[in-house]
Amino acid sequence: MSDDGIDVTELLAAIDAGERLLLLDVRNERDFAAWRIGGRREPDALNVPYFRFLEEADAIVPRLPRGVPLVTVCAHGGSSALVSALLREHGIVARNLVGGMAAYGAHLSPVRVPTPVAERRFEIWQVQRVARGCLSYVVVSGGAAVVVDPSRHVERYEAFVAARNARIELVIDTHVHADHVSGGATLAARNRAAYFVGVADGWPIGGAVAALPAGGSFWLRRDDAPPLELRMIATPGHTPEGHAVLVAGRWLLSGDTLLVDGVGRPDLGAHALEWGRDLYRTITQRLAWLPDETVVLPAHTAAPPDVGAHDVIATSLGEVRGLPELTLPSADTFARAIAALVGPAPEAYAQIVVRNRDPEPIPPELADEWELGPNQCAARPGAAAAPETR
Amino acid sequence: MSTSILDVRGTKCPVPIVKAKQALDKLAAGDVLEVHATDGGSVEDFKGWAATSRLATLDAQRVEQDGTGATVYVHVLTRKP
Repeated sequence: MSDDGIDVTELLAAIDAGERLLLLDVRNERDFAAWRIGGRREPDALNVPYFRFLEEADAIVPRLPRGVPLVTVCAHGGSSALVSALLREHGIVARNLVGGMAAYGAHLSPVRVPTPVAERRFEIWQVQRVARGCLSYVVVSGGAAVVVDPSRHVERYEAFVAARNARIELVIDTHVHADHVSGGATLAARNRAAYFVGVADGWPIGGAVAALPAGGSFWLRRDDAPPLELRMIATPGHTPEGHAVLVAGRWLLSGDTLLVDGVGRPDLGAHALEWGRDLYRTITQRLAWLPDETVVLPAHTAAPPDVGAHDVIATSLGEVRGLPELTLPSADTFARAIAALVGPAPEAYAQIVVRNRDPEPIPPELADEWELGPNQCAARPGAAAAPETR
Repeated sequence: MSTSILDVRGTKCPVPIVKAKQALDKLAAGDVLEVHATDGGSVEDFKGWAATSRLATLDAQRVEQDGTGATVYVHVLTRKP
């Protein structure tokens, strides 16, 4: 890394560590308003579009804050490189975010999920996509790996699994995602692994999909390690074809069915009340047999800035069961309460769903465009009790 | 008064605006410059730039397809006096 460049990993570490810096975002005002760099702490940011520097640098530069290191940011890192070079010519300390917002949007940060010493025969990694609040998982046991809900940056998962001396044998999408372009089918094909995603009536999936094994569980068997059970539990609600993955009887990869301080919105298929009632029955009946201590590992954070660089995003089933809406007496009252809570739908969700049901390759630029902006897959029952202050 | 075309297809920001600015510098007042870009981000950028530029006004923006089927964003600028 040259003196004038900073990569996403280093920038997020600096933000999380509370280092003094000022983001000088040189995108246009609309793009800046729609989506900006978060992190555990909200960094100080200033928006001055690059085209204003082109025309009136002499007027702008003297007005910039001095004495704080600047990091310039734009969509792909080109305009911000121009601006940071210009600032350095004026004697201002400035570094350019290499790859810009596109690199930030693609950044994946793996965090190990704690498992008791007795369970060290396998590892669960939560792979956090900080910019979007998307959480995917890599489960490794005795040289075999399962990847759950991967983003489209498939090489990152391949490198991570290879570094753990394992081979990807199975890829699972807990459901047909509406907020991000899935890497599931692609990752499976590239690694000759099986690919599983649920299939519901009227929701066909293009391409090859593995059937659920007899007994409802996948088993990871490799080398001398004892077989590891991945029990698939149908979880209609957020979407009708959804499945949660129960790892070793205790860690529940819950997709968007259960989130930290919330549940997944059931309204992205034009059946908000029907799916909402399904969601209530899934949580209160289909998952009723699981103990309160079950560790819930969701596919999303409710709000992206909650994602820290080091902490696992998790809750317990007992916590989820305490959400106010889940104490409502019937599926119908629950569905109506949730329908009243959901915010605007993710911007390009309809296109993303179509692509994820028929996983044809699409240009990365188009995927970048679809995935712009913050994640909006959560209905937030917790929000009524504890309103967000942001 | 003349109309010229600047082809910046395949480039990303800041190239379309940097090149447009260089081209406009050489034009006379009232001359028209059509910038042909493939970067979707250029739409909002040209709007924002023209709003404060001393060099040109933005008269129109339109979307076309070129021979390869690629989407082309056309920005029509007039050189200011």
